[in-house]
Amino acid sequence: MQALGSEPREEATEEEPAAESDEREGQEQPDTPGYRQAVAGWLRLGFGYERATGRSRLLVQEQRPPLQVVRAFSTDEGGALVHVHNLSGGVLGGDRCELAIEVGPGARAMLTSTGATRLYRPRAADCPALQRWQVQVGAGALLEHLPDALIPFAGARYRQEVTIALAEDAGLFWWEIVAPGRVARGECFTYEWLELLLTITSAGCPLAIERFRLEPTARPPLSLARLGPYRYCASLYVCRTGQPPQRWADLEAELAALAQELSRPGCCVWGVSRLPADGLVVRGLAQEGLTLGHQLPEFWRLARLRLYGSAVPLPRKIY
Amino acid sequence: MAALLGEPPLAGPPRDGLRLDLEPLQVLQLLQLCDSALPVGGSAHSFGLETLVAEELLTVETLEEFLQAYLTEAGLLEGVFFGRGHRLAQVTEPGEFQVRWRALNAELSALKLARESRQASIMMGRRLLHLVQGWFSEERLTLAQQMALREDGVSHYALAAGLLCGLLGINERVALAAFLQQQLAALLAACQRLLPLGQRRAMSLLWQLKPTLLAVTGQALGYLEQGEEPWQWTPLVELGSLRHPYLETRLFIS
Repeated sequence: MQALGSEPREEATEEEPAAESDEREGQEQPDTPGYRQAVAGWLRLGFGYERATGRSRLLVQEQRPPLQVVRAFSTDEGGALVHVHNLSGGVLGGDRCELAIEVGPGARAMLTSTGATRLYRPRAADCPALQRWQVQVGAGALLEHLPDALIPFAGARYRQEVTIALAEDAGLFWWEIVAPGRVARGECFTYEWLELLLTITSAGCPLAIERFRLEPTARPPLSLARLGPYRYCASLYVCRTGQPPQRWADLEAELAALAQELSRPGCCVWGVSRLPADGLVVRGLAQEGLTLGHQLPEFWRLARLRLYGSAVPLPRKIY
Repeated sequence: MAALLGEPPLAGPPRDGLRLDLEPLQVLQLLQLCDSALPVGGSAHSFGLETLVAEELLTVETLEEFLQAYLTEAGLLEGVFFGRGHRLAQVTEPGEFQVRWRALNAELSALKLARESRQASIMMGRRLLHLVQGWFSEERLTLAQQMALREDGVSHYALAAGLLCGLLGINERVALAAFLQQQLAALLAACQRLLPLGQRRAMSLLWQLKPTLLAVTGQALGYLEQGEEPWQWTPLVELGSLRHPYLETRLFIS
């Protein structure tokens, strides 16, 4: 891969925090010995399509630790691949991170993480951690968000809000994998709660809304109404606005066949459903995270091939 | 019943509890609208349960715990949208009513990610609005019916049922509890066809789960009062719904 000539510009400084952050910090720092200062991370990324080169370009408009983007890589088809780093290694109690992503008309962007998103155990006095994504995908643009899993440590309290607005002929592949905890350490559903909110809209109309609250003590995850015999869950949203309903019906049938092929009840199950318009969702549940992590990209590849005529390699990582 | 001679009359139920504020006619209307045998097509759908039974996850032994958890997740969502439909009866301006009706239905469609369950909810809502045509005349009901009959007119059952009860002036709390009981009865009826679940056991469960129904009713009203959005996380049931079309033998439609 070839590095793009991205132009990082750090606009947010310690002297110029976002107004909202100021207010929060004022509220959230009790005079407790050993209390860690609340962190307000900020990342604003803008991607644009450069007609002269036929490539997508990254402009890091603003970034503030712990969130950071170092550089963009050019994908085989001229898109921009970006790894979103969290310099503190994970999300700590009281952290508030805001990510604003704008993919300009015709641009193609792929975002991934550098590893699993670890949701650390907060101190008793910490506020719940919050990560908020505001995403806009412009006309004819494509955004792919392919992160590693969320791993909530024992006691974690975390809220994630994702709002995605799609313009005309905008495309989206957005996945999420949620682990039950640090399983190797014997932590399984020992977090306090997770709130996962996601809204995808097209022309102001909602295509998909998730409002999940996972609260192991009050709402046992292993209830049959929730996960039953499974521990890991994954979802993949596939959208491209303006496509005819029959195209989604065909893709649903094709992905459902793959889901049937991969499903092994008791071990891992997959399902596919068309959204009310402009897309579909793939859901998976598994006993083991590796199964889910290996199979989820198969749906992404197939859907990408059908909607965009090509499949690209997954972002390369070294763990 | 007349009191026996020489004895004081029997006391009625305590008056400081829930005030129903229902006229006898409203009681009869509610009984009819929330009858589990209302012909809106509910008995044709298992909402994912058939897959869970086919995979030997849902059994008679696990049913009560399942229903309890299901009501606190999916029941809460349906209950909040029933309440929103009920409250829409307070909107008298037709233009505003149409905008809000469309927006609520679009939101509920986006929340129901499993196509099978979403389509079932829409079909039942449409049938309910069609069924009550001519029962009583009301401008907003006519508007909702007209929108439902259009090809793309999405009308979810919870919203349609809530609107009807609101337009009939039936107390919201009572109507909501009755609606949730109807939903539970429909699930039990589906389970009776899928599992070795007899009438006595099914009726006993319906009786025992009433405290849960009332708790969910209270939660839903709380969300409505606070203007908060309800949570729902039922991934296994949702997957059951997504995978239902691929079962080798199906008693219910997908």
